[in-house]
Amino acid sequence: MSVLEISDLTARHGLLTAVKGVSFSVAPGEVVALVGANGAGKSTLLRSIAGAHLDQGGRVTLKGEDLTGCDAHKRVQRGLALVPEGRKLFSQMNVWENLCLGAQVGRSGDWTPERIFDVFDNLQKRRYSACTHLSGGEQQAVAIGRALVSNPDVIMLDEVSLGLSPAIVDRVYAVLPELRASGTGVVVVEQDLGRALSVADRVICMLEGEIVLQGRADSLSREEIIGAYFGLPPGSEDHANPAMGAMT
Amino acid sequence: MIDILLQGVLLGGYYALLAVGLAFLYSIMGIINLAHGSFAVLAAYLVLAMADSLGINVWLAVLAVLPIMAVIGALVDRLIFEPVQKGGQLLSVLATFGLSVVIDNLIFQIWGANTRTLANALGDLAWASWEIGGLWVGKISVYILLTAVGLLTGLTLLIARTPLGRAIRATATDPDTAGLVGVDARRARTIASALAFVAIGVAGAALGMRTTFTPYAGVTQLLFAFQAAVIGGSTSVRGTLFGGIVLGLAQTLGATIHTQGFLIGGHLVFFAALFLRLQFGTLRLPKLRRAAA
Amino acid sequence: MSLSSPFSSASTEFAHMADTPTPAYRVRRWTPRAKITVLLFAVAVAALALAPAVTGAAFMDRAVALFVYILLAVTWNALAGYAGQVSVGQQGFFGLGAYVTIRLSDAGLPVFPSLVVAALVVGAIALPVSFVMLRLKEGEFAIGMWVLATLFHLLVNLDPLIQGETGVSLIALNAVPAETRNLVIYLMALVSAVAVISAMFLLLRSRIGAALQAIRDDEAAAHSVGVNVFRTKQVIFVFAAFGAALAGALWLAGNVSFQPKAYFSVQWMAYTIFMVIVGGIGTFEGAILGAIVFFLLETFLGGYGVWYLLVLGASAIVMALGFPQGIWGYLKSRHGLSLVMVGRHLEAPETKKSGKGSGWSADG
Ligand SMILES: Nc1ncnc2c1ncn2[C@@H]1O[C@H](COP(=O)(O)OP(=O)(O)O)[C@@H](O)[C@H]1O
Ligand SMILES: [Mg+2]
Repeated sequence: MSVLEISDLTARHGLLTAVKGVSFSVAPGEVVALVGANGAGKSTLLRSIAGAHLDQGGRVTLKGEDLTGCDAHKRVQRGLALVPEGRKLFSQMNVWENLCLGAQVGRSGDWTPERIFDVFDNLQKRRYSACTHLSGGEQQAVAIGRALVSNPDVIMLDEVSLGLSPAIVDRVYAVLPELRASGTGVVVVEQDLGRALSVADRVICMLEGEIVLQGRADSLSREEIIGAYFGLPPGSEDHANPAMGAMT
Repeated sequence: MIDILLQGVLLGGYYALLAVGLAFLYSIMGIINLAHGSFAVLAAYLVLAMADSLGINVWLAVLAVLPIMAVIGALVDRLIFEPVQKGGQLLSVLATFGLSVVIDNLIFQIWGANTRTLANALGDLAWASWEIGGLWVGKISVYILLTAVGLLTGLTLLIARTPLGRAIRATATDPDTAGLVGVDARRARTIASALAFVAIGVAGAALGMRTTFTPYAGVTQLLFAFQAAVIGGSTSVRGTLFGGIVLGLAQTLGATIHTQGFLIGGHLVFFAALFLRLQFGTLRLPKLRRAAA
Repeated sequence: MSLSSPFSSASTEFAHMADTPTPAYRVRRWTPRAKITVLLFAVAVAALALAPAVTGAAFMDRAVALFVYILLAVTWNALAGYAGQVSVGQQGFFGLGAYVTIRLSDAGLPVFPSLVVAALVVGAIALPVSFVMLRLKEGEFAIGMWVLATLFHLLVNLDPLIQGETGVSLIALNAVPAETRNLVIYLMALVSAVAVISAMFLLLRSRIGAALQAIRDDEAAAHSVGVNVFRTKQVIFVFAAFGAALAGALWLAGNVSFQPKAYFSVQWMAYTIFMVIVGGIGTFEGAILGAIVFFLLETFLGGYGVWYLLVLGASAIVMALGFPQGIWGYLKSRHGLSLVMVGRHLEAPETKKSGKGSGWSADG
């Protein structure tokens, strides 16, 4: 039984079709890594699922409930949260206010603003600082916290590790085991393939708006993923690419 | 001289009250509502009509009109502000100007051209005053100033401290992201508009109590509200108290210099403030709303 | 977007429209339809100029009103539709135009020349004013202009000659026999309307027109490629002030009496905005069409007073919400209709002369 089910999702930016009939599902407690080159359509896909991108077709079902056509805020109320690309904090508000906003949807659960301060303990002393004044890592923690405090059934994280040092990324991903244990579905977009493979149960690879490869993280080889990533025929992935530095 | 300053400050209280709704809407939606003054005058007529026709106490009438203003604010948001905002500033200026023409003439059509006031309905209070150290201070003006301070404080606290205030601020900065955080941005906007119109309703009642009004008085009220808001920093609700008082002082001082100096004094201070702001930018307090969106 | 790209795209666009492969710049300047339009326009103007021979004072009286509306609509459209500065304060210049006329005439200047000189004086006043006002944006500009208009109103009221709201008459007109007076005013109004329409036409076809187009596409981008956004807007601001002042002076000539309240009334803006919105804001032909529509409405419905104003206001809202491109904009987008060629094309030789990358400046 899956908690989130996407079927035949299509999304356009004007004339450009950025997501072309994508279908996949997420099981409770499952971590799905969504990978693909820049411009593959990952962010557009997540924003469409979250209801923030309106020009779309297809179906989004959460816990058996059809969310198609729902506004973004209704989807959050139903238990679907997105940590958007670029964090998108309300920079004039302080940390606590950002977290309160997320908690305002009123879904009960383990996650409260105070728990966020426990988990990301360095936020504690920045509680009343405006978010503009935080470091990148702190901002990312607030962005994730803001989504967590809505106690979602599925949380989607769009490139949360972008621009952060590996040590900080470790801390960010340290919440995943707990989410997994509590049965929350997780979708992460991650540029670092090595990390994606290590945190995820399943990997979905997108290319030009379509899913070109998916499978269990432990059954896919890096070569297969890289090939799908660049749209190369199997066996021709001998291109040394700087973007893959983190993998080797 | 002290008398002039005192009168100026008291008058400023009214202008602050008048400017709140305008500045609040601007800070939330980036819309300058050119029908602002017309709605204030409309509120004054509504209070008068309630007090007259239903024969109820004027204060009760004010309380009854405020929810009506809230509903009008919500409707105006859905019917005009929201659709017009997608078309950019040009359309919002045109549509709200058209709205002011409609409201003014509607008022004229319904209530006629006569000069009206709420002062009669107030009874003795309209003329009552306190004597403080040899100066006479009208009670109504003091009440209006206190109301202005109360309303500004209340609104500021509401915005700064409450969940609704957070939702409104989030919507003002970035409605899309607000939605992703679970905020119903449309609802927040509509509530903000309703709140602004309640403030306009209070200002309209104050207008009717302290002086007279006619169907076409909205123009002047809009200009006063705008001047107070600009002097106070344009987008800051708190700044309007400062702006209102400066405007009130300028007008009162102007009036002592020349019989026509009342309005001219206000206009000159307004342009001086505007010029200073353009030159140095310091008078402008930070906007709630992101410039780009 | 660079300044030159609209021209190159325009040249291909218009090359398609040409039947024969004539040199590019000629194609861009005139289409057969544009030629016919200008010809028809000239015939209409000639007919209007000769009309007094067969019509009476009543006709001329109404016609002066139409010409005044055209002046207001065309120049406000230049400011709001082309330069993107929505003023709600042109009544300030309108009133000043009338006031300065009275002052000049009182000082001994012959009454008819003073109408034009007054408009020039107001245009000159508008130049320094533009330095402050044009730095305001959008809604702030709109209402700031409104405040400015009321300031002008108050200052004019200070002049003892005006006697406050009582007002004063342009008495010098009484010295002219009624018949001559009507005829001269009619012809002056006609010439003014034609002159302002032509000036607008030439302005839009000049480098200023190209700069305006670039600003309208993307103000920041226009600025970054060297279009002098501020100077361009200044030219239009002064032009619009001149037009409004000329309208005010002519209105005074037609009505003789000057009451500040009537001239500095924001009602003029309600009328003007209605005309331009209905006709099609930002289209050359739309403003003229809107003035004619308004004139006809007023002629037939003006008697309904307040209801009439209500309808004007309501239609401004409805048009802004549902039909923002106006009648002409609609025809243009649906049928590609464009009678005269203004806007985003330039005569090729001029583009070459101005040289590449050189900053644009509007040396008036
Ligand atoms: N706001 C937008 N407007 C137009 N095109 C966009 C917009 N956002 C993304 N795109 C286009 O959609 C495609 C997918 O982009 P995106 O979803 O951001 O990919 P990814 O997140 O995988 O890098 C790209 O071709 C991109 O250029
Ligand atoms: Mg992305």
